[in-house]
Amino acid sequence: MSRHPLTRLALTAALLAATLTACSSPAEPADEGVLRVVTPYTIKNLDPVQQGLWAPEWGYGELLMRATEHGTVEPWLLESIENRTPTGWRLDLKPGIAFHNGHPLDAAALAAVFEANLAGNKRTQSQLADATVSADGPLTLDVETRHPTPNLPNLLADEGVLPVFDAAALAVVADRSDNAAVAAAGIYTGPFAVQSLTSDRLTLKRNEAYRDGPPRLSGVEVSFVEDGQARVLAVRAGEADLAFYPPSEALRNLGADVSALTAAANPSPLRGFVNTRGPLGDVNVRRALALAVDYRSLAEDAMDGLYSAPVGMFPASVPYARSDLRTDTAEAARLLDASGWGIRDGIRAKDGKALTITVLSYSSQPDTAVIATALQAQLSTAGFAVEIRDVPANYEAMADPEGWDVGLSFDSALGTTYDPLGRLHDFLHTKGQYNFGAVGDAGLDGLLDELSAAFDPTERDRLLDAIQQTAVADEAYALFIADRPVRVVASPAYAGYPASSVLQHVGATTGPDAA
Amino acid sequence: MTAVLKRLAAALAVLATAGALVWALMLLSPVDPARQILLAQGDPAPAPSQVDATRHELGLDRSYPEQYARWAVAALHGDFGTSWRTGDPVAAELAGRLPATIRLTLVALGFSAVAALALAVFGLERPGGPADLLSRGLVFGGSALPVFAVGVVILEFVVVGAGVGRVVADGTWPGAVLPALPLALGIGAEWARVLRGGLRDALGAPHSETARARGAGRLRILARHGFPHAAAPFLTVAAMSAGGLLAGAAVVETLFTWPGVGRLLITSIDAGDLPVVQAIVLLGVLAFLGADLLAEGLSALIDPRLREKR
Repeated sequence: MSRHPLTRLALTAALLAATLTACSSPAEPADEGVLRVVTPYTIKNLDPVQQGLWAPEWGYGELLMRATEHGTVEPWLLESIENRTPTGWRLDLKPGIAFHNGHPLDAAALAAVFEANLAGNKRTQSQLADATVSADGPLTLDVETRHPTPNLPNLLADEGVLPVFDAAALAVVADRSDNAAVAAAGIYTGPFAVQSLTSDRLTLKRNEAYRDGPPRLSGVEVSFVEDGQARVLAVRAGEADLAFYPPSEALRNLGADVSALTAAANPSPLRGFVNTRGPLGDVNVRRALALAVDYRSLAEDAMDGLYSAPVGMFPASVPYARSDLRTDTAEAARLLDASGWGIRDGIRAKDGKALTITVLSYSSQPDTAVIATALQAQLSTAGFAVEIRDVPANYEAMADPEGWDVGLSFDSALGTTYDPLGRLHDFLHTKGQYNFGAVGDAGLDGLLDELSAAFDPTERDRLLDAIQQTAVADEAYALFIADRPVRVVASPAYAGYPASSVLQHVGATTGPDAA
Repeated sequence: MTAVLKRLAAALAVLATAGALVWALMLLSPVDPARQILLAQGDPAPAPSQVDATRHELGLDRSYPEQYARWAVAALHGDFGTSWRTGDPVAAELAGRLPATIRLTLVALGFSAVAALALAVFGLERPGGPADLLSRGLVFGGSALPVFAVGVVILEFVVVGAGVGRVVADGTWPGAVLPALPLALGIGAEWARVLRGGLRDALGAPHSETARARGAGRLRILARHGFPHAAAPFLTVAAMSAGGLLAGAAVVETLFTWPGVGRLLITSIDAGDLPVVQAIVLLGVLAFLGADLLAEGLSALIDPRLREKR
């Protein structure tokens, strides 16, 4: 030890600092029976009408129907669903289903579910307005919709439209924002029951009385972590088993100690909403724009192979998908010439005005900025002058008729329930809720209206083919730019975890080394 | 007494000016608050009638002076409105984050104080000696290294590599240790530089020479003459650091997913959530003013020359 008192003082201080550092909280030891996941989306509360959509994702709730990885929907809590008239459906529940509190899910309880959702759930009100229900047996419910609803099976598989819960048990909970009280009421079905919900974490425990037998896992911990890099690091550090929604940047530099698992189907498509009010009001310019995009290069070069090139409006896995997308810069040039857009100094111009388009990217999806930059470079070779505008919220920006020509957005034409009806109408119908680009095509409206009332699968496929022909091949009312597969980063123990493209992340069979 | 009142009045004037500027940000925002709140509440495309009704509810259809007056009165009561991102009250969001930020601030300040003391006195007695050079090198290095880079290194090699600490910080006291290190490195180096300069001046001053000639020990001289002499500039710098940390150490909190105000600030800026940004900026101004007043008071208590000046 030094003779100088000041040096001794300094060394003592340094030793104190080192001791404090050693006290840093370590990661909690892993319980092999508990799956620990990290996700960016916070579950605010357990009120099923407000936040019920999370229940089927994490295994503490189920729906009447569910989407499969094969592009179909199938009964889940239902035994069967039958369309009896254009507006009348008969639902038969599986026998022996009980909520976590032990109460049976029968026709009366299901009628209460419909009524509670129709009274308070905006999605239900929007999709099934004025629907009426009546029990026709202990496990049978008749549903009468106001309009023909051929996509009712898909709607019942939508996590936001009809969350299933024990409405009678919820009604006696004094404060629905009291998570402990709602958890204690045991209002959901499913292989796991809620143990607790805090602002940081959802903790689930095994439902020993689950109808298919006790689940493999003893519990699930869902931690809410907004930062994507931190989610991936959490898996690498052994704090989590699975990280959902990993950012592309993290996947580019993923360590060898973890693996990125890819869902087999239903990638998330990056769509380009087209604003028909500006230069893209000219069909030749729209088509030239679609032809000037090099889809393969966007996926493989700009996004380092983390994306795939789309074939058209729908993924190739559904039977009605058409392959309408191709790259042909020569044809793009001919179309622009035909519309009077001459080339000057490398930029197309007409009547002294340059062919300038503004592409919107949005900050919550950083990949859109990368793709917008790549698009800027690609489209410049066809004579488009592309300006990029990064906005905090893309829907907000596109709701403004001015200030954009192409709005990038991760929006599937099928959603997670393989239902083309709702989204097509929303995006492309003159009266569509999200028809941001002011598409107004009477022929297309007619096809969409026909589809809304078509029950026959063959007829639906014919209409969907005609809609794609019009909206993509003929009129290019929307761009389909790149497909992002659903990915999950997994620890070695979960290297066999089947990533879900239909938002069913945890189930009774989920476990380490699950095939 | 008059000086104290004047100082308080000046602080209030600064706060009022900052408040007015912060409120004016709303006028420059391209985002429609009414629409944004409806979006946050789960309506992806609110109807114009809903937007108008919400605008009326928020008082956004009133004159600007009236809007400002309402905002200022509400802010004085701790009500900063509703978050455009979550639809929750801003005050509740801040209240939920503040304890974690205070924990991180206190741990970082504690580390900084220890590091500053160690670096300030290490080698002080032999200027130009190896210990002095090492200490100065560490101070220089600590000041020059970016907080972000240090944080990344800690995460990659200490947390992921060595398994010490957590990536997903939990906001607890033990969890604050690692996130506090990169903060303390920069702050401690800055404090050490100021403290070391003050101590060196004091130890070379005639009164210290006299004390030494009378047989006083090194620690006694340091305690009686060195630290009081160096206190005023040191406390001023320390107050600025504390104020900054209380407003949220944005980079470190984001890097370590620390559930504090700094991370909330970054998230809110990303989402264009102006009410939350406004509240945090005002909180920062308040923290700076409070820390500054506290530092002035403490300096006056320690250093009699400052009392005489008043």
